[in-house]
Amino acid sequence: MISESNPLRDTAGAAPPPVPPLDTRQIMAIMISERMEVLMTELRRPLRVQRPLPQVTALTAPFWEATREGVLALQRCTACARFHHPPVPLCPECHASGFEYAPVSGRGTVYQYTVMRQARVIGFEDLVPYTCLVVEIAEQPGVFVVGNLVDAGGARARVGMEVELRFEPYGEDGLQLPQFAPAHSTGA
Amino acid sequence: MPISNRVAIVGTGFSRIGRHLDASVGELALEASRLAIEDAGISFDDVDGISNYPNPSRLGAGNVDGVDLVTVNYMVRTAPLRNLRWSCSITQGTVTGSLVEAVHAVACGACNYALVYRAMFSPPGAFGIADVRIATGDSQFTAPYGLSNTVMMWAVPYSRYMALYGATREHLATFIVNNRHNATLNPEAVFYGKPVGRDDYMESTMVAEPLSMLDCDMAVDGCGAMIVTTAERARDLPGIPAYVTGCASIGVGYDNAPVLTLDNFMNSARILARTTWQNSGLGPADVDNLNLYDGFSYFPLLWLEAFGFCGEGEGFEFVQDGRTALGGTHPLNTSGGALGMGRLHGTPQIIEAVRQVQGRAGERQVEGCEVSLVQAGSPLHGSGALVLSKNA
Repeated sequence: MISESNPLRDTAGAAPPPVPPLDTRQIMAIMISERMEVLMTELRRPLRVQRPLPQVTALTAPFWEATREGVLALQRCTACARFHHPPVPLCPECHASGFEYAPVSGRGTVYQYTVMRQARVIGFEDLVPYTCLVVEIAEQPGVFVVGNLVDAGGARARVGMEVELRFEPYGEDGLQLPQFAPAHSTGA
Repeated sequence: MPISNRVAIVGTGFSRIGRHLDASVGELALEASRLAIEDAGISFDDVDGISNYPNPSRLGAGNVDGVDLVTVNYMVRTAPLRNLRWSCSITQGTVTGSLVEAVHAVACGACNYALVYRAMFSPPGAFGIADVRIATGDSQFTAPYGLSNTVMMWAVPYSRYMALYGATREHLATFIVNNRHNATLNPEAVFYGKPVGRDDYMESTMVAEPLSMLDCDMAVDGCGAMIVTTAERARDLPGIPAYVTGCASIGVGYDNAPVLTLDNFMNSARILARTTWQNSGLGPADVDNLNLYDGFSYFPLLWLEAFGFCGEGEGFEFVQDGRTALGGTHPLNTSGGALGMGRLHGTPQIIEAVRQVQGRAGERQVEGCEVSLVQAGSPLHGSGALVLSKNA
């Protein structure tokens, strides 16, 4: 903010004292200090990530509801007991259409990943660079869940890295977003 | 009954190709079509079939016909095509898929001369900015993580390839440099006269690891067009036909996953490759010139493996040592491909394959080229492939 003693802005008071004329150097110093204020405000601003919220459907609602309790639950066929993610209307394995959502441990292995180096996704500019993991879940080979790499302490993602589940607040409605951190047991 | 050289590609044409040209993409589509029609030695009134993959050439394009996409309707109205008997717009398989449809239509007599084209639009401003406000459908499991940009989507499977097989950026540099070298021999390429060196590639700005700027084809305005007819009619035309020995259009990954996995890519690629070889009665040993889609640099490595030119996980080594350069045993993307010609989907592959078997590839001509392989598309958008031959 501009200090109250700023002679260019100080117009309060019934009888302001006469303002001495400013030379060019003084005016420039004031302009620079104003810019610095803006810059410092920007630097102090917390990272702001605007993650899009899900358009929840009957098929996906149990996934998101479970996150409120801090549980990662995936769709599972009641006939063949295989997990599917994203959820499907018909089991690709046995073509049955009865499903439940069952909790999984959230442990898994990084199957593939990318590190985004450019601000080319609206809402994620402040997060650059950020890592997106495709994690193969421990419960069933060939079932993948996406997450960002969090709590990595500077560790880089790599294919084959063991990870475990984290949740972070997501939106204003009590949802939580499943994320992945390097697994403690292996020390990543 | 397989196609077995009963159909031929008899004309090809590229419009002007460039960044933000002072011409609408509709104008460019007409320009390319006129060139292809003239090249075939026919007239607009002979064209009685048209096939296209009209999808907007970027996410969220405005869908203004003739401005940022070119539908069959636009072409029929503006060309005009007065004698149309068959038309087709596909959503699968990109331009190769629409070409395969035209081949089938001509083979069964639905039309005599089919025009196939793919028009691409380069939007003003930064390319590939993803703006997802509500994560709908399956994207609700990816977009909340900022996994929305196209380069990111395609970076992900390649990270696994590199880790599994030990491929490095140095390996891919060989491929990139070769493609851009080929473009320096192609006056129609957007990067004509602009080669890159290994150091340029190694220092290229990273976009989404492991893919850098030079791993991505550059968005351009431009159009490629082809004319398809029967082998019998082709013999009465002035030009040299490129016979369609076999073709296939499928190549969509079927595994259920939030993003494309390397396995899914290879599963779908193998199905397309197997079907293409079955339908053509030929195999990798018969091919003199390879044209494999390189919208992202590593794709051809995977297709080389899927088509059996080398073993799985060996594609990055196969492109070393000049093997896939002009003069090598397997000249690859001799037009410069999409990385050299610009983001024109599969047309740099298709049109080059035609010209190679016609013996009209100029400085890029592969000596004694009798059989050329084309593949374009991807396991996300569908993919098609054709084997073209000089001899029926």
